[in-house]
Amino acid sequence: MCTANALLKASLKCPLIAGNRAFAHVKLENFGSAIADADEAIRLDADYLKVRSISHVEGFQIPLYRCLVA
Amino acid sequence: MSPNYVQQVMYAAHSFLQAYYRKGSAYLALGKFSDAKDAFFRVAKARPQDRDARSKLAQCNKIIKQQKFKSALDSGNRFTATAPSTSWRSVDLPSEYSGPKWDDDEPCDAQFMKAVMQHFKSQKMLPRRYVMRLLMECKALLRGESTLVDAALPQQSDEEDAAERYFNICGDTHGQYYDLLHIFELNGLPSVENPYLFNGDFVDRGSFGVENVLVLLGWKLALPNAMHLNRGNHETINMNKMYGFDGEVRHKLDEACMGLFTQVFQSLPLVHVVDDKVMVVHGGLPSTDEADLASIKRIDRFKEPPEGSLFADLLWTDPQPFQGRGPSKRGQGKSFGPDITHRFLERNGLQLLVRSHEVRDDGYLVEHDGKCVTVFSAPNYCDSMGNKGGIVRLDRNCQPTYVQFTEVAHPPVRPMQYSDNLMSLIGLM
Repeated sequence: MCTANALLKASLKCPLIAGNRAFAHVKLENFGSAIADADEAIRLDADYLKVRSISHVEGFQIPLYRCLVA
Repeated sequence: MSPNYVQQVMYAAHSFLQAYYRKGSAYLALGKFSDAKDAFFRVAKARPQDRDARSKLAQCNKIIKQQKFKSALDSGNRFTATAPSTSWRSVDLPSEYSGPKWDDDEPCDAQFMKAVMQHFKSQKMLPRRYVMRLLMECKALLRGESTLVDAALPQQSDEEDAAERYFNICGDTHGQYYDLLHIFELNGLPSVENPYLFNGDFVDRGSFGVENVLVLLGWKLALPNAMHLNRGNHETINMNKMYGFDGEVRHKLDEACMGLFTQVFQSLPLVHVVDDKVMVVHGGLPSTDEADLASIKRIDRFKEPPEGSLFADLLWTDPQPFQGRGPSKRGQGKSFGPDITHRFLERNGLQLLVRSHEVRDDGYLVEHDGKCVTVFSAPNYCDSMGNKGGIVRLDRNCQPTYVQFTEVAHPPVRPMQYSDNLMSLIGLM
């Protein structure tokens, strides 16, 4: 049980998993939990994009993150 | 620059927007349209080619516009205490009507209700004259009740080996009229010896909500002291619009009747306390420690529950297995733990909390060291959950016993038949 909980906790640091769980919560009509998980996925993705998408990629002279939130 | 790197960034961007999309769907379902609009706007702007996001954004804008227009017309949704402009007397009985007769000077009695139940069972509707009269009389009766009703246990028989008489509490029935008939077959019709309390959510989802709620309201008129009704979160305008009752009433009756249904719903009591010992409420306990039975009594209930209020808490909250209060999975109010339940019961001199609001596999579930019972009476909920239905029966000492039952067949009208197209937009039907 403890391992399962720890695994779950760790996996929710992955935006894809948090986002997919948000989808599951929408289907279960747990809309409060859906919003919480979606917010977590948004936060994690934003952190990643802020660091990763700055400049160097060819074709992404403008930081991608700024495009997304503009 | 590795292509892998580009791909990862693109994945993250996709996941980022997808999360906004899901957040938008959840806000849409909660009826928080301007929050939903913000989320879909983000997606539609970053992905102009996404038609789905664009159409949801357009839908949000349309509803927000409608709401603004409507709130300009009538400030708030509180209804005026004046009688509706048309009385049921001015609505004629159709000449071809051959169902149960209700004479103008006769009250609604058990005899009539038995005939109505049969009439509905064969998929016939009551004429608008009767429906409007029933709703108007019910509204007057319910408005006379307190927000917190003290209900009594049935008198036990004097005869020696007479059977124990119970106070029966049923949970959500959600328009599953044929299962309601089954409850009465199994457990007896309402009577002074066999009183019932239906704990909210009579309508929506199941497609026989009109029949279901009219039968309950009719029995309330026939036996005001042996039939008790609590308001549930589905006895509200917004939920009726989304989850089908509004569409069903417009299909089977008309818009004026929907207005009357709303007025009746706004008159329902919120809480019953049985024999000063057992509190029955649809959702659960308040989200703050200050609220007690006295503050519940003071609630002005003749309106829609305001967001975040004690009123809304009673209709919406759920218990949780952890101590204290936690965030609500539904996004309404707070969940309450075992310690909260113990403290609330003790402070108010109560023994037990009975609530409904959540589907339970066995039809009922005992939680919080036996102090919190959930009862749910819509078996095989939405034709898909495979759960049993449950009834809580309180004996002469207010000790609960439980009855379980399974679903019965109903005519081939699927659940959510009349629900709003918003629900299909979110993918919830």
